[in-house]
Amino acid sequence: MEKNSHPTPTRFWLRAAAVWVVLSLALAATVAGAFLDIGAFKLPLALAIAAFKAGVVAIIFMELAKAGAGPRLAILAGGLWFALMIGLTFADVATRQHLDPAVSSTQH
Amino acid sequence: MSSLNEPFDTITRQRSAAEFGIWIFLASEVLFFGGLFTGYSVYRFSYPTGFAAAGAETDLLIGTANTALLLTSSATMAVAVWSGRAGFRRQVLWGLSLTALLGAGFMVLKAIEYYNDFTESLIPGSPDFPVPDAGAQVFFSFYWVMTALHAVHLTIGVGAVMTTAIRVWLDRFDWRSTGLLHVLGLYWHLIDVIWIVLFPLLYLLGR
Amino acid sequence: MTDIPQTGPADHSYALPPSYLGAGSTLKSWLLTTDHKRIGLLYLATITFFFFVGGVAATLMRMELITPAGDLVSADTYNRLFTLHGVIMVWFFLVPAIPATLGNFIMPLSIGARDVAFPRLNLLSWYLTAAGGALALVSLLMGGVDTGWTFYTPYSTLYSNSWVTLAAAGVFVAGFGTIATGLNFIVTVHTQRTQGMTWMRLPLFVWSIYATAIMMVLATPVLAIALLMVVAERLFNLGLFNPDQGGDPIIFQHIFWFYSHPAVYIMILPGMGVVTEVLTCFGRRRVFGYEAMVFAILGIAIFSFFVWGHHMFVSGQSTYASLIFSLLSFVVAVPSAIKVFNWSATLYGGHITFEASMLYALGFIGLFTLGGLTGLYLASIPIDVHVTDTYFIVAHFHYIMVGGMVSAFFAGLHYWWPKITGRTYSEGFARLAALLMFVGFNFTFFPQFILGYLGMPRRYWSYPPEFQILNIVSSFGALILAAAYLLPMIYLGLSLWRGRPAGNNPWKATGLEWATTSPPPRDNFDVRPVVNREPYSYHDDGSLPSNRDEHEENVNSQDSEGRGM
Repeated sequence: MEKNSHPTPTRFWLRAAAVWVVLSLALAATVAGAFLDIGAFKLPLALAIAAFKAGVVAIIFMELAKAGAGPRLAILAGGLWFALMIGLTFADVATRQHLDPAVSSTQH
Repeated sequence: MSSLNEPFDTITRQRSAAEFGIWIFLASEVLFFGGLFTGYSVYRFSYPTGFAAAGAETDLLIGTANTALLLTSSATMAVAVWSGRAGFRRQVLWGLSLTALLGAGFMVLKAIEYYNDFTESLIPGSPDFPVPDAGAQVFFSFYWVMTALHAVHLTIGVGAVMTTAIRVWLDRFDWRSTGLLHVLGLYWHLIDVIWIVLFPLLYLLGR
Repeated sequence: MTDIPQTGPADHSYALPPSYLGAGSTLKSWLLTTDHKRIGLLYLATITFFFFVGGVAATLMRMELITPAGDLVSADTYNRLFTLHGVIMVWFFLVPAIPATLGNFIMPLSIGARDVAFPRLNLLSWYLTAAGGALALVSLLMGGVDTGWTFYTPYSTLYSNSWVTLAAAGVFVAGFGTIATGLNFIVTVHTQRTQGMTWMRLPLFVWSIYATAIMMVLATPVLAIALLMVVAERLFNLGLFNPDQGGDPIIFQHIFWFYSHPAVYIMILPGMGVVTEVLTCFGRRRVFGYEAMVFAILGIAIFSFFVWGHHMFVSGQSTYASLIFSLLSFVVAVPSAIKVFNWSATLYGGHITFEASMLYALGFIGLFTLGGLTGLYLASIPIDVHVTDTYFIVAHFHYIMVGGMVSAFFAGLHYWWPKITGRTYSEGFARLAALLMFVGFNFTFFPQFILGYLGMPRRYWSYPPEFQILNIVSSFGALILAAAYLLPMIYLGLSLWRGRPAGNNPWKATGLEWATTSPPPRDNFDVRPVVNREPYSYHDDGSLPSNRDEHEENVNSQDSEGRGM
């Protein structure tokens, strides 16, 4: 809410509608992007648009921009810890060695 | 109907404590779903083609419509929260009612989609499972768990929004200054955010 | 349960001041209370009950292991016993033990608060914990679970014919109680500190509860989702981890240990906080290196999330991942070591007296250090591969959990008992119990280090005859340990009727909880205290510590002016 102007119901609806238009356009873009012939970039593109949408919701609707240090730290910790979980799990999954099937079959 | 509760001295402090508390809860929700996202990522890494083949079997039309419904519901929820602070009772009631209605609409569409999934045997372990690629059944395992868990959250959300709407209507609590509408809104928006992330993972692969 | 104190007898010399205990004596006044002190006591009764349920299972296991042959119980029963012991002890005793009982009761008092930030949520936490415990108990009565407390897939999802779903549901429900408690405590410490109680004046017990709360909020949801995935796979034949459908069971271990390694620190960190309070009080010393202790606590809370893979060195995870996790595991030992050094330095030059809670605290330092150092063995891959799934592991984590955490719990219980109940207990019996616990514990678990190193695997109900002598020693120690656990039930229980009124500050300790009456009034403080000193001001900077009699005057004069720290 702008501090310098008197809040009216219409202003709230217009403001929400403006954000809604942005979000809807992003939704259209991500669906369209899924049919582009860009191979490996499809998923990164879709996730980038999702991050954009999530950011719009978080900053404007969830008022993260106006939130205090506590809420910011809390959600930041949530995100960082999730990144940690996925990161260290991939330290295993992405570097795992698989036995050559020929080797493992000779052992039987 | 006092708006100031036990350990607090001022309503401002109580409001910021409630807001902080719900953000901590949302952080824990991020990690709750985070376990599922971690599992999904690992298998998407292991079975890129199987995930693409399976992802093409989900219902893009319903998925997109549901995303639009939830995005809209976030907008109406935001109106309810902003109006609550300004004291516009009618707008709060409109915002909350529309939000609950859109959430219920999401659930109706989701139920139809689940029914179709059943008839198409998109069930891991089913003998008639239509996608032979390795990893396709893993994809649908995550599809079911993720969407079901999201639906549980949404059901709780719709219930909470309707209850709050009735309590505002009856003036049963101080919705202008306690910040409880904002707390409810934060929960609702998080459900939306989680769906925003689920949508590309479940509906846009393999198109 | 004897843990819920009654109001005193009619004898006037034994009468206590009006307090939270007099706010109601009906069952309803306890079950619908929002008073953090009463909720703390509800938790105390709950965890005591579960401690003895888990203890009975341990006793049966130790009896079975007296002879090499599997003669007392069947192999299947033995599997269910160790699972029951683990599930109950981890989630229904160790995790709530200090935070939800002493933390609930003392922490708001220590920061000069009237209550926690969300009193009704606090009560809900207890109901969730109790409901989860009830579900776990029902699963036990129906026949138990045989997966081990770790619920490893694919055994838990595809093969086990036991009540996995029910037990997992119990842990799941209790987990949300833990999350709610953590959330409540974080917001309480942020918003309810009294005037002058700055962050760097918080007692280290409060810091440790705060750090624990952060870990609870960030780790417990991951346990919840791990168990939910197990149950979903079990009930609906999903392929989340099932190799037949392309799943990978090791992913479950990653998600599970992402919670369960930090959970070790959820259990031990509050104990470290308790020990700091007790050591400073009975050493009459300001804590050595307060800031270092704070950063060590926060460092442990953060780094504990980086090391979970050391539970998986032999699981088939990537060698590179094992190397990373091994390195990180050595790193997390550093803040723990800082704490041990600082405790030792705190005691240096102190006027030490050996009250029962001090004995428990000193026992904690020794046993925790042994458990921690053997943890370093396990962080190095070659040794870990050698002793994985042997009694070495069992001994290691019991040194941390029982030698460390349970000792700390008893230290705190004895330290704050006069504040909680308003009455003193028999110091002689208490010291005897503390000594018995230390001796019995070492007899029980030190032989297990040797057994494990010699190669005796854990979770078997029979073993080769050459291991029998050490097993008999261990079972004999368990007998002493059982006596040491039963003893406090008697003398603490008796103190409720026979104990003399303790007075506001029997130990002449600093800390705001000692500035109010014992037991505290419903709203904790008649006048909200104001803090104008550093914590642990047992002596002025640079001077020798005062002994207790000299200190008394000082403490009392602070009380009369509304209390500083």
